[in-house]
Amino acid sequence: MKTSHTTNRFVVLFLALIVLVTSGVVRADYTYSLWLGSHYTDFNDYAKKVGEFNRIGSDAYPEIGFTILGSTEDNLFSLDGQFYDNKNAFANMRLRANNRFSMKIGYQVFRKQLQFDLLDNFNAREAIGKKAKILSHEALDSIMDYGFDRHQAEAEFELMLAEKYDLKLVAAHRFIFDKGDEQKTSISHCYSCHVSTKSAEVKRLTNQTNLGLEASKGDVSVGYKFSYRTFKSYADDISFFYDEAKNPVSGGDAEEFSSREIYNGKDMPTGIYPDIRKYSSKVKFQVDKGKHLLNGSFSYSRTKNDVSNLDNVVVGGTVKYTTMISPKFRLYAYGALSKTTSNDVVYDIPPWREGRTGGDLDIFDYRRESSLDRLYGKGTIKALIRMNPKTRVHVLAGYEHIRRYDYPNLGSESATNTYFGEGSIRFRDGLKYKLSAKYRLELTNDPFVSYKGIFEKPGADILKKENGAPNIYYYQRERDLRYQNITTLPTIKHVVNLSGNYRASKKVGLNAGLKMTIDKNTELDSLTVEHSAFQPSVGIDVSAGNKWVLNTGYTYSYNKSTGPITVVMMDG
Amino acid sequence: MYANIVYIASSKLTLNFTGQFSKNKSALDQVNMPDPPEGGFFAARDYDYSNMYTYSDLDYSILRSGVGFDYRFSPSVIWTAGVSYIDLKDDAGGYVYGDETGSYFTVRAGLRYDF
Repeated sequence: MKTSHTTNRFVVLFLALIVLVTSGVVRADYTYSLWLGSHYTDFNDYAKKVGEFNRIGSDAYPEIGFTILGSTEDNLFSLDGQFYDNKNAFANMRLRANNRFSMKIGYQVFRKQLQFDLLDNFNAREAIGKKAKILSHEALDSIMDYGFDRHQAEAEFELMLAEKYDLKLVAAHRFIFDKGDEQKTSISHCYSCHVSTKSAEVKRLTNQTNLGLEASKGDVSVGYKFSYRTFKSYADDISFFYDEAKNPVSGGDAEEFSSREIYNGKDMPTGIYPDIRKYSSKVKFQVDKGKHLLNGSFSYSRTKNDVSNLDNVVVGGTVKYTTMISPKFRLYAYGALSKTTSNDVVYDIPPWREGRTGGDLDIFDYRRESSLDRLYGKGTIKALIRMNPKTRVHVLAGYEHIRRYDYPNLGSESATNTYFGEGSIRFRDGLKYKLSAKYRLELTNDPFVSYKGIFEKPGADILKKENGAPNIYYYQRERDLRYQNITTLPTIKHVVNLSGNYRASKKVGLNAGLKMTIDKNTELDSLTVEHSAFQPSVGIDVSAGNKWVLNTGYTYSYNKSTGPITVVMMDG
Repeated sequence: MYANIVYIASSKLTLNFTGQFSKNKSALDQVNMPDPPEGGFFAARDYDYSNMYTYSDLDYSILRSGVGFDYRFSPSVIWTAGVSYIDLKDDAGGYVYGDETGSYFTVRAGLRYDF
């Protein structure tokens, strides 16, 4: 397994660095700290929730921790680590030598517990006379202890190539490896409405490598970075058995029901992870003229998912300009523009009711257009004004535009425009008290709609049997019957943030705050979508002489959402 | 709500106490679903939505508490010890994962040597 080799390389590198230190390559005065200890943990009742990031077990474990720190004016070396138990440990190393070379390496492992969905909450039954359909469920294996260990390591290197142009080579690598077990669930929907679950191995690996150059000369600095990231699961695919096609009530009509399904009566892989490769290049620049600062970037990235044959390209850039008009007045301008395109995926579906009367309808082949295809633009301008030594004000105005192409159908085009503005005032009287208030307003036209026409009026008088078929089938849809666009995004949003700190004396400090958000969509035809959040907080810190320090507080958070509830039943 | 206390008992001994209690509740209002139309293909529809709004109820309370001390034997040797107790109560009725009520208790001690 490549990952274990990678882990071993990091361990070897750590050991080599310790040797470097002890051999005096990084010359400095060192301080050392060693921690030796142990802990005993006792879990009671259900441990998966309360011990979500713990190794669950009622037993004792030895611990060891260490810190090595050495520094001079030009050099730095630090190494620290902690072994809490075999599921929770970390180590970090940092090295800087004469501004010509620096590196950071870190490794961490922790446990993430996953819970077992009992599938107990399904409850539905439909009947025709004495025959009935019910929704059933079963666990196909007895393993219910799910969770994974996450191993993650990061390394960053910086090497000076030419001091004249401050030319540096920068490189970084990061990997995340998850290993354990998880629950997979499958729904079979034909002869039986049957939900089944079984365990699956977790072996997910993410790798990211960055390589770049940075240089500066006078007021100008430039940089280029190339990134390559992959995600892949190395676990074996698991399969679930999908029912043989039969009438769900009588058990007959196998040929008829089989002709309506893409597959039945066999095992099929389920819950397959994507296999992702992402390449990106980014050029950045900065011009610093004292009172005027200009920086920006241009980037190109391409992401491929080899499992589903998706290919996504994003091209974009940002620019930011900062100017000091006076010592009391700063102005910031920001702009971003990007275009995202994804390939269309074509699905070739077998003919509907192949070989049956009124069947052989090859109507379900389709191109899946991507909701990611878009042109994105954003611009803001912000002013920061120091009214007097105690008072600071900021105002911001901005505009965001998203134009979507070919979604939901080829040739479709829609645009979402958001206008936003915010202002704040902060008042500070030395250490005595500090008050701040901030308000933000967002107005959006045509927020993204995830589904158009999700509801359907009764249509027995409109829908007709097609092509001599014996029944009206569920795929038949009449545009006139469909209504209701679905979104949870607002058209208007208010955000308020108030905070205050008051130091009553040298021994007593008080603080209070209020965060509030209210939003609403006023453009939907038959539904109300609105959200509100309200979070006040108070706190106090008290010290008594040089002996006691107390800090305490209370936070209340209230969130309310109003949106659609849709119940899906076996027969719609 | 939370409270933390640090008490410097002497130049060698420092005590610390921590406590945090949070209560998290989430619920839907009663959902009034329309009745399905009478007659049709199905003779009976056992659609009872009266308790549906309770299915996504969440009701957790979490108590986190701890007490510990640092004792400095010398400028370079410190003895640290403490206990912590975390108790989670699930009063929502055990949907999806079952009753998630559980707790754990940890005793931890060790020596730090600076040199």
